[in-house]
Amino acid sequence: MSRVEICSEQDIVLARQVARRAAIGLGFSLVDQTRIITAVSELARNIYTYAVKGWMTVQELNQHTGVVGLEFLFEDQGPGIDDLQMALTAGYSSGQGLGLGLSGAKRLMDEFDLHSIPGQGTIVRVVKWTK
Amino acid sequence: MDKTSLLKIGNVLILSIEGEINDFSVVSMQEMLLGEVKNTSAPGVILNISRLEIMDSYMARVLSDTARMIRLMGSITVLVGVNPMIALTMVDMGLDIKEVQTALNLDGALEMLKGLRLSAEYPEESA
Repeated sequence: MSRVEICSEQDIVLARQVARRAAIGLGFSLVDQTRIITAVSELARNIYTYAVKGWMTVQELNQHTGVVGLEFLFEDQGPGIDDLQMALTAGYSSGQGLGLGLSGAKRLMDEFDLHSIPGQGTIVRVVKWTK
Repeated sequence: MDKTSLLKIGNVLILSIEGEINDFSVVSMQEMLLGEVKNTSAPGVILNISRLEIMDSYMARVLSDTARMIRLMGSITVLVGVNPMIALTMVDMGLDIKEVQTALNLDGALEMLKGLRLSAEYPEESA
């Protein structure tokens, strides 16, 4: 398990590097590596943009069927998300982006869960399984 | 750490963006490139991303904004080097860079700019 603190633009790059190493380590295809790194980039940037500071945690998951996966948690104590439905709508943005960050990360990964309490923070959990 | 390189071939500017560039460097790259378009009066700009690691929504926005700014200045941008992984991920995410024409490689981009310049300079000849 590794943990990356995200509080600068360079930390977004660091989060991508950690994700890449983890994805290569688990034998993900080049396309899935790219999907994982792209999703991590979006979610790490969301922390930096909206919460200023937070953490990414990566861990390996093993199913008894032999399928392995990578789980990423993105946690922050930022302002939270008022309208989850809206935030997940492709094209909607409350910030400077294209509004495709959250919806894009969701489409790139196999599992996506978002918990947010306005005023307290946000946790996003994403998983990609090797198939 | 410099992650971009700028070349000039004929009167076309070629900007190559490499590897693990951070958001701040992407924005300084944009400013530097616009300055060079002005200084050199280049009628065409090629953005080469063949060595870019990933394309996320931020990078897509900066590239499409840059192309729009270059168009406003009177020049034309062609994007080259979108690799299969990046194309797949972009379509998965619903990302597109509609403002920018794309070419398979540098040769194609140079050819495209040559054609565009000719048709822009001599529009009446084709009539």
